[in-house]
Amino acid sequence: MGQMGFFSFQKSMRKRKNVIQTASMCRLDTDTTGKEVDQPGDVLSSSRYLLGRGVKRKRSASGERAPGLPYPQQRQLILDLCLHKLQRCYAQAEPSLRRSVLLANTLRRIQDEMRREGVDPPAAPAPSPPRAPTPRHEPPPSPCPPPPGEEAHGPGSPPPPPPPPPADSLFGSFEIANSTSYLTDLALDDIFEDIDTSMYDSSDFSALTPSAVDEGLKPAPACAPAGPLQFCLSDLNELDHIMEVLVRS
Amino acid sequence: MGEDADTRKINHSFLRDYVTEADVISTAEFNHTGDLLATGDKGGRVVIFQREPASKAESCCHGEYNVYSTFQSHEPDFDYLKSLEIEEKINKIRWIPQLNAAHCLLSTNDKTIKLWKVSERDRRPEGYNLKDEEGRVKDPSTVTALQVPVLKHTDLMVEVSSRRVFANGHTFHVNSISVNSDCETYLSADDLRINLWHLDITDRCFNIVDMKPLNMEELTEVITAAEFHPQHCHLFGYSSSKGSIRLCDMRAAALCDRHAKLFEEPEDPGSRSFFSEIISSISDVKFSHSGRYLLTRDYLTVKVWDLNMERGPIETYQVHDYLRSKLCSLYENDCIFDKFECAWNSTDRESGQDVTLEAVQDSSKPCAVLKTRRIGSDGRRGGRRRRDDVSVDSLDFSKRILHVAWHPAHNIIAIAATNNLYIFQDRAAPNM
Repeated sequence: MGQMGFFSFQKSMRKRKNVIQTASMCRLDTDTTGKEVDQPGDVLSSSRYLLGRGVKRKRSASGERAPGLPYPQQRQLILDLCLHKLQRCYAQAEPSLRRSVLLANTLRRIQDEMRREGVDPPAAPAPSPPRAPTPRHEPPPSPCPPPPGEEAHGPGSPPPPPPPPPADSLFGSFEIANSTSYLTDLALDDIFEDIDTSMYDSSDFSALTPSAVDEGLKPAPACAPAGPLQFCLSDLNELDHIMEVLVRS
Repeated sequence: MGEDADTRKINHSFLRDYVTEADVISTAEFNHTGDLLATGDKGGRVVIFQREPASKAESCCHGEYNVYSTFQSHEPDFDYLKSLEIEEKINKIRWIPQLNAAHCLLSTNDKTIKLWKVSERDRRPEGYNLKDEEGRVKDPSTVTALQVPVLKHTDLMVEVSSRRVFANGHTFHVNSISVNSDCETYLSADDLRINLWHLDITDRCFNIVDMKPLNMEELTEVITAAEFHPQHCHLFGYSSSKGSIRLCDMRAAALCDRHAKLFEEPEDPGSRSFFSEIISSISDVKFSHSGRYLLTRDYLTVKVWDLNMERGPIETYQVHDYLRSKLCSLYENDCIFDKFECAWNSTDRESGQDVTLEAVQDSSKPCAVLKTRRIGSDGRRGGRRRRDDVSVDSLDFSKRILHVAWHPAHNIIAIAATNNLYIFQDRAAPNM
């Protein structure tokens, strides 16, 4: 069936339940692979993806027929998702290095591609907070009117310097073992000198964490601080608590 | 296995029905004879099933698997410096070839590998002079006659004891362990390093592969699976997140950072997409029983490689290509990062009937009837459809089968899907 089969499978899926891409099941069929990038009528552009989760839509042909997102905006959506996932990585109890590396590589590739095209990759999701946290929680603005802030980075205005991929500096925190280098990085002596909580203002964290990260991961107002910032925060809060207990007694 | 799908009967037995998170099965492995099947779960427990001898009436069918032993292998741990919990989830179990009456297995979580000895006891000594039947010490003055303790038969007891704990060898999450054919050493692999251990020595190990860059910011590739060659004790292979497999020879150097062979398929420029790299990440690698071939699993395909040919696989099977149109959704809900497993059947490919089985769990039925769709290995049977194939839209992405083990001698496979373990026997062709 080849390429034709792949595309018609999408459109006719709702009509015939039994149609499965069987021709390509046991052959390496390069015709059917990856055309989602070129074909606008794929799932990327479907309204299912653009709407927030749980939003029902009519089961009609209008879904498939909707004009697809142009490639740059498809790419932008994936880039946003990438960044969001990387930020979310550390909120999880068990960060997976493999996942982070795959996300970082994907992110880097998209950013390289954007740079090659002359479009500088936007400075992380920060400029458009309602969209950044997750397309799941809030329906992102419709792609037809340009999302606030995104298009400003296009050819029109002088683009901000692209930040280094924020994921890079996040790999350092993956090691499980008790390595003393972690302690020296934190400069614990400074913390123990002064237990005043005013020390834990966000502005002071730049001294403790790689500065490259701050630019890319400046938290949106609604977001929890992400990445190593959050890491240090929880650790330091614990130490703060311990110190308070010690001082009180 | 028989070619005709209709004559193939499915015998599935439900061995666990719990729905708690801790019961989610995380790994399954048959021992070398296939009589024992060990499963590990997220709660750190290992459950071993033993095959009951087949009754004479059903000569074509093998016995059922029943619970043989259960024990807590790993407990949750806590890394105080990082304020991180180390999960007790069992990542891998590997049996050690049997040397005596006891069975030994290695089980590992993210950080620590443990060697467990499973032994049977069906006798106990009775008739002690200084202890009574309950084990309480008798007053020596009450002993009037001496007796010789004798061994008496008791009900079968299965005892599991921890024999070795291989700790502190890894700073990243352990994803694979593999026992060497010399039965003395084994390797353990985490995201960036592979260590070689001796089964009797727990306080040190050799690092044989180190992929950690000096600057972690340059990290682009991690190790996803590793295995020793089944016959050559100096060869091992490991797969990476970039879709390549490296074969290393331990005779060449102490640190095998330079591979002896690199198996990599050049990327097809026509099929590039945003997710190309993610779906090319290999999640499992297995040597064939003969040692001639490698089986690798990435997100959408299963590939067979000939160890003599590095430039590409000799066979590629699209396991669920219908998901290709769903990659974005799968990426969104993180399913695209799932790690699937693969397994060889007992005769590898010699019979020419290497069959890929795909089980799609029908989530609407409470007793989880598994529909299997058979994908033929040769082109003639390709494209064969059964009437009850399911459509992609109705697939529930939360129900996925991540763990599989194939009996070493017979066509019996164990499939773990979340909390449930299914064992399939091929009644049409039980012995291959």
